[in-house]
Amino acid sequence: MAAEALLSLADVHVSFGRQHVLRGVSLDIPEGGIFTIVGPNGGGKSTLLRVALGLQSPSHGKVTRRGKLTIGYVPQRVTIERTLPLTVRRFLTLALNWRESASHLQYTLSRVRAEYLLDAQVHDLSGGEMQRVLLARALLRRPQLLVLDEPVAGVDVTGQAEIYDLIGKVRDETGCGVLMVSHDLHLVMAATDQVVCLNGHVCCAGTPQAVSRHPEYLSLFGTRVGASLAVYEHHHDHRHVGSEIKPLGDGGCTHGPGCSHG
Amino acid sequence: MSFETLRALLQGWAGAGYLPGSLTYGFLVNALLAGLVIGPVLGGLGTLVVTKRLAFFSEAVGHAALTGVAIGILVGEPYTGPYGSLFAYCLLFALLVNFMRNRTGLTSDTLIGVFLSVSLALGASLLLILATRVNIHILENVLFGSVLTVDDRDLTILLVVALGVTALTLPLFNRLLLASFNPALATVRGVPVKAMDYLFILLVAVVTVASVKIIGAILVGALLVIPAAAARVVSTSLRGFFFLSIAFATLSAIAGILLPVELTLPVPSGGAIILASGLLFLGATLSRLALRRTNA
Repeated sequence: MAAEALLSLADVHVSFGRQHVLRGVSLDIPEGGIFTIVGPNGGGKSTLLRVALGLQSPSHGKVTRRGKLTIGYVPQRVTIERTLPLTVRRFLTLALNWRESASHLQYTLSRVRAEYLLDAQVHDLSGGEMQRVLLARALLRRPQLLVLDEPVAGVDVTGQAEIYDLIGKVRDETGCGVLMVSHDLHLVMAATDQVVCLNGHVCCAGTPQAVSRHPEYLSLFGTRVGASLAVYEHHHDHRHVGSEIKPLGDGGCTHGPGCSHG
Repeated sequence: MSFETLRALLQGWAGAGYLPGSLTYGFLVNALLAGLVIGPVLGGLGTLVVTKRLAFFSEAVGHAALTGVAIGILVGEPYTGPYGSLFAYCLLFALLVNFMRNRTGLTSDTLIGVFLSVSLALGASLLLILATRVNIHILENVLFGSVLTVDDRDLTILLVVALGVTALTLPLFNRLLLASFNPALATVRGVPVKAMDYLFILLVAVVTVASVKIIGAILVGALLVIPAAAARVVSTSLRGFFFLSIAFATLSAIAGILLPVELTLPVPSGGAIILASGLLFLGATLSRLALRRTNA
């Protein structure tokens, strides 16, 4: 597993002065997996992401990236002044080392259902549209690893589901690994393969179902959140035969507490 | 081609009536050439200065030139072009501000406020000490710019700086822009953000120093800001923003150099250039307001 990982963190510590933000975090981001970091504010989520991106070097521990790893990064926000005239097309080609063909731009935008935005002004975009454009931007370089920092911040609920859906679709199509930080527990649990709950250290990790029932997770977020969380599952991934629950596809899902059918 | 040939050519055209009559004066041709070099470079670089929110910084570097001149005269450089001290002091000033900005955690406007005040205090004190040694009126030229004193050496320095800055900035334009939107994003994309920040402020400092002669230490920073601000207000595309800023800056420089002489107004070139760009800014703002009203 570790040999195949796109990115591995081994016993990573990060301290700022006397403040220990990360304490002994170890993670392996596999190819083709969606890996989500949740956790309370100040739990070190953003710092962990910065370490993974190589923007912050750990005070202790080791970060290993697969050779020539191409990372596509979707930041939480970009600050573009309202008065700066900038089209989506121009924004997408900033800092590309080559002249991107119009058809590739168009194709990449269409993958995030934003092809109609190509000639729009960046400051006219809604929160959800901007996130999709940022996602397209990250995809332009055909990354092996997609890193997203709270990809749905400032997006309404319908838009949020759509963006998680897009991230899953991109992973299915390109086989890239996905590492994201999320604040909202509800939607993200449905859209992820692995969840890490981070509070300085990895307090629990595993499948969304396992994490949401983990005592440490419940003590962090409270049982009320845990109860209302109702881990969503793709109903198509398992079926009920008599009293038996049969997973479909490899691995599939098990019958979760929120599963309302049969 | 030497400046002499170009000068003779333009003077000939002026004599024949193709160009304003004041251009029969060789010194004015020099000043105009300087303006034609400065305008596009300051205008183009200005778009990044405004986008990267470095307007206050570039004003401060301009003001630092005042202290650079004072130090230059103090150490015995010619008062008509103390380039050694000017370059050294302004580069040091710019580097120090950027260095401290990355380390103190203070916002850059606070930090620049501190450095600007201290630098001005130093410059003013030195100038008053110098007042007993040299004719203080000579310093007016340095402070507010003069069309009278631009010589071939100034033109050469300007030209070299302008070419260098253009060659470095144009290929990096997109990267600098991206870094200003989100430094982390640019870094992940392989842009060396910190190094480029240093490079950029050095370019601003170098251009500022090279332009001091014609615009003056007090006002030089303004030509990095006002034309770009005016262009920003009316442009609808990035390309338009860039080229309009260049056009505004060049137009201001030409108008500011020629008009006072043509109209025999005793106005320093620096003041006239900035007033011209100020008028363009006013026009741009009004036209945007008018457009808003018709659209609404």
